[in-house]
Parts: sequence; structure tokens; C-alpha cells
Amino acid sequence: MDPVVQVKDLETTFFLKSGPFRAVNRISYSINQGETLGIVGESGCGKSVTSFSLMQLIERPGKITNGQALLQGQDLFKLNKTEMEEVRGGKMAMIFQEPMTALNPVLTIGYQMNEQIEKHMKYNKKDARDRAIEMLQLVGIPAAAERYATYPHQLSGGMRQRAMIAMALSCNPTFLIADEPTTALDVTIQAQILELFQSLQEKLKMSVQFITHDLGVISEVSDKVLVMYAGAMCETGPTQTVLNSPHHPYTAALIASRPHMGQRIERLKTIEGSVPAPHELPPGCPFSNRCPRVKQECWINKPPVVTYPDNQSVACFNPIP
Amino acid sequence: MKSDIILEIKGLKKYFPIKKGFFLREVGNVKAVDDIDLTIYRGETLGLVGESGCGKSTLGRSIIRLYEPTSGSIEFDGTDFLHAKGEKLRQKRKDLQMIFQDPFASLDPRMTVGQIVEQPYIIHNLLGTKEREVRVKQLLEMVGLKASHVNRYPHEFSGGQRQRISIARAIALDPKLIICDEPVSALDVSIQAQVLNLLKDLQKRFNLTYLFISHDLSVIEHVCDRIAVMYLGKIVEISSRDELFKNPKHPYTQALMSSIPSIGTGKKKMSKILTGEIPSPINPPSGCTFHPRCAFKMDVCSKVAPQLEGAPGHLASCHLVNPLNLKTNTTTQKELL
Repeated sequence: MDPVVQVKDLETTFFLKSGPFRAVNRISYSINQGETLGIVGESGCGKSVTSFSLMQLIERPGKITNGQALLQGQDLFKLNKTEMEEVRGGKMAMIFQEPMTALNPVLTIGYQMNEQIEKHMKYNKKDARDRAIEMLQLVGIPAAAERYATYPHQLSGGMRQRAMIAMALSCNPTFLIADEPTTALDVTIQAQILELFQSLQEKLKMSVQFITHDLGVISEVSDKVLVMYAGAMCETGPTQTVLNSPHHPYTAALIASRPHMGQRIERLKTIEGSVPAPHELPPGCPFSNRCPRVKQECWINKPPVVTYPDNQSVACFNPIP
Repeated sequence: MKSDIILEIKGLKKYFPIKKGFFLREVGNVKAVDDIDLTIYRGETLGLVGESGCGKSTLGRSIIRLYEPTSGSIEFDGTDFLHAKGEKLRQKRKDLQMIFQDPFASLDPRMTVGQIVEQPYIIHNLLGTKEREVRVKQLLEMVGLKASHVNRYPHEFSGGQRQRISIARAIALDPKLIICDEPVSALDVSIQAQVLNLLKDLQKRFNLTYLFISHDLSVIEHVCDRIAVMYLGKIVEISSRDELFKNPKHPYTQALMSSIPSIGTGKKKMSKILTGEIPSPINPPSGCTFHPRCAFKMDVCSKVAPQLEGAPGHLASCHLVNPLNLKTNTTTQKELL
């Protein structure tokens, strides 16, 4: 079976006054039906730009400068504006991080859902309304028919995020991008939303690209993981394999710097320094200036991709054995 | 550890009035902090954990009197801090500092780093100009920045470095107690670890006491000696760290702990942990404020508010843990049971 989503050598560049800045640098991955790929990394590593590129929501001065993104065999980057509008919100949907800024504050939840359902499913007004209310019920919003007519600010953060999910799922997407869907929420609400998410995915057999900076969340929701650093791929593979035996120094450091429940250590391991600014990127491996295992060649050349059994691959000259 | 109390709060309340209509009549209160007793011992780190809107930041700000508490008492380092005035208050405030959550909002963008860190000395009229300069440079180096950074502005620094500047400012006057209000939640994981380590080092070096406010239980577990769990303006459980994690008594604490995703344990089926959301603090539920979300709800829970009690060192406010004492024998309790 062919993967539902295939991204090859994706490269997105922002043409800034100070020179071009490659926010996403040759990223490739694929997602099968019903599978969840987690993309993890710190702020500014390009994980959100990757999703925005697939949705073609990159605005000037940004531009997709290379690569292919196949959704069920169809190259998204070759579509024109109207064709892309057909796909976006229909076959492919996205949940944003901040539901308050992603929803339009002056339109009711129902109006915003209807707009999309009428366009993609070709429903009339009444059917669209029924469908919207059905979706709101599905995501566990109490009194859905009343909530349909409310404005975003009248809902709490958790409820707003549920409404976002309902909206994204209303046209039966085959591919869903979730960009930090629970980061703005409290832990108990996060647990509720993640649970909802998993049950819906099982029911609807979607392929999901799940973006977060929280390794714990990644561990619990995803099948595969892609670790990004400064726009480049560090490590990818089955989630539990990568998290339990990371081969890239960055992945290992990221896991070690997080306090673990039940594990009492006096000092946390840290990664010295911070993520380099766009114009300060080292010419070789982007992680070379912070890496504890750095070698001479790391400074000069881009690291090769080393493959391990179990589909785990690492971009590093000196991976952890 | 019990020997020395640095801060003792009794019955602290902070209500925010809600005003409506043309004459701005008071129509109700947001009970952000509702009758809290809390003791902090010298040299310890007390963690305050809870979800957004539970009043943990309001409590922190009320202690330092950024918000004037509605009622209650605060005894800080042997003096009545809540009723201190003028010069006495100023002197006491030196010993009580705060680190804020958002390092972008808590530093004046128009002041250089040197001016920011020097500010406490100017306000309290300490040291001469030359000495201040030397001291500021020392402080910057103490928190892991360079002395040459004094003339830079906050926007030239990353989030983690800015939080270091806030820390330098907070420790400038050799305080005894620092209130850390979510000091690492705006930072990336790798930077978070650096700042947590720094806070621990400084604590050892200057014998500091921390009140550490956070929503992240794994961070709280890492830094704190004792932990208080807050829900809707009240403390629902308080205990030493080891005891709390081994033996959480309150259903809310248990739910909070099981909601935290853990690494490397496999894709797991999220169990239904808590239903519903935090109720509004304007009209908190009757009885135990947690009862609409609680899995072990009993009849009594919606009628009688539980008290924070239990064995010394581990208190919880729950009818399940501390069944209503029949000996006190009030009529209402008889009817209920």
C-alpha cells in the first residue's frame, strides 16, 4: 500500500533583507493510512513552517524552493490556487495552536463551520447545519445546537480547541495536520483532547502529522517521530525506538534535559548555548556548535544519513552507538 | 526543617470585585484566593501547582502585595508584612523578591541590562555608583551572562538569557525569599534545564527560600521539597514531595499526576481521567469545589466543604480521606449521613 502522504526534499526559504534563510532544509517523510507522525523540536526549528508549506500557507518573503509533497499521489505544489483551495479544508485539514487567533472572533462557530462544509461537501444550508452540529457533538461539546450559535470568545480554551477539531474534521479529511493542538491547554484538558483525538483517528482512519515540542505528548500519540533542529532532520524512526535508544546527540540531549517523573536527579543535563540565529548557522552540521560529540568534519560538511535497523535513521557523523 | 518559619500565611483571601452597570455597582466577587493557610520554612522550596485560573499566581502576587489582599494575615520573617507601611515595608520588601513568567514583558525594553540590574540598588539607595557597577557585573556573571553584556538591551537576548537577567535582578539585594512565578514555562526544554539548574545553584550558594509556582508537575517534582496543590482558589493537598508522589490522597492530585504524558512508555490509550473543566470562581460549586469533576463523588461532597486536615506533614481536603467526624455531631451532618 502506498503511503497517503509523501514529502520529498522539502525546502522552504525566507528571502530576508539579511539574505536567504532556509527555514526547512531538505526534509523527507511519509505517512501511511491511519498512522501518526510526530514532528518534535524546539521553537524556531521549522516544524510549523513544514506544515504551513504543505498547506501552501507560506507568505512572502517565504517560498517553497524545492521538493515534492504527494497527497495520495497528487503533487500539492503543482496545483494552482483554485485547485489548492479544493484540497485545503477538504481532503487535508489543519488544527492550529491558538484557537483564539485561528477562529474569526466576529463570526459564530456555526457560520465558520458551515462555510467550509458548504464549499467542500456541496451541502445546502440546512444539511450543513446538521453536519456541523453532528461534528460538535462528536467532539464532546455539550448542548451542541446551542454552542453552534455562539461566538469563539464565549467558549473556554478547551471547548474552543474542540470546536477547532470539529471544524477540521467536518469534511472527512484523509490527512490532518495538528500544529501544537494542546500546547495552550492545561494538563487535564490536554489529556481529554488527546484522548478524543485518538478515538477519532481510529474511527475515521486518518493520517495525522502531529507537531509539538513536548516529548511526552509525542511518545503517547505518535507511531513515528521526526526530530528537527534548525530546519534540518536529526533523527527519524518508530517513536519508541527513537525515544528509548536515540542515536543523534541532539535527541539524546533533548530527552535528558527534561525532568522525568519519578526519577530524582540532582542536576538536569543541559545543552550548552542556544539555537543559533539564522545568519549564524554553522556551515556544517547545524548542531555542531552545541554538540558534545562534535568532530572536525562536523564543522565543515553536512552530516550523512546513517540508517539503523527498524527504520531508524540519523543525520550525524558521530552518532551515539 | 521545621525549626524556622520564614513566611506564615493565615486565612488569606483575595477577591476581585465585579462591577457592572452605570454606577459600577458591585455585583459579585471573583474568589481568586479563598482562605489559604500556608507556611514556608527557611531554606526550602515550596511548590505551588495547579491549572490556569486556580489562583496560584494571584496568591504569589498577594504575598508580595502586588495585589492588596482582601483579608488574612501574612507574617514574613518575624514581622506583620500585610500591615507594614512606609519605610518598614520598603525595608522588608528587600528580602522578598519575585521572578515573573514572561521574560519579554517583565524587563523594560528601554533600559539596558546594567540599568535593570542596578535598579534595586537605586531604589533602596545602596552602594555608590562605582560599587554598583562592579556589583552589577558580578551579578551578571553569577547568573551565567557576561560582564560585557551590561550595555545591551533586553531584545538582544534570547528567552533563557532574559530569564537570567530577571534572576540577577531578583538576587541583587540578597533576598531571603524569592517567589518564582512560572519561571521556566515560557522556555524551550533545553533552556528550561539550564535555568532550573541555575536556580538550584543559587539556592545553595545564598541559602535562598523559594516559593515555586508552576503548572508542570514534572518541573515541580524536580525542584521542590514540599508541594501544595491548588484548585479553584484553595489548597486541596499539601505534603512533602516524596510523600505526595508516593501517596497522593486527593482525587484531583491523582488526576493531575496521571494526566502527565511520560516518555518511552509506548503509545497508550488515554484513559478518561477528568471530565469537565475548572468551574468559574465567581460561582464556585457548593460543598467541595471539585465535586462536579470528581470520580469518587459522594452525597456529602456537594453539601459540606471539606477541611484541609490529616496527619502532620500531609494534609488533604477531601471527605474520602477525612470522613466527617461523627463526634462533632451537628444536625446537618446527621441529616446527611
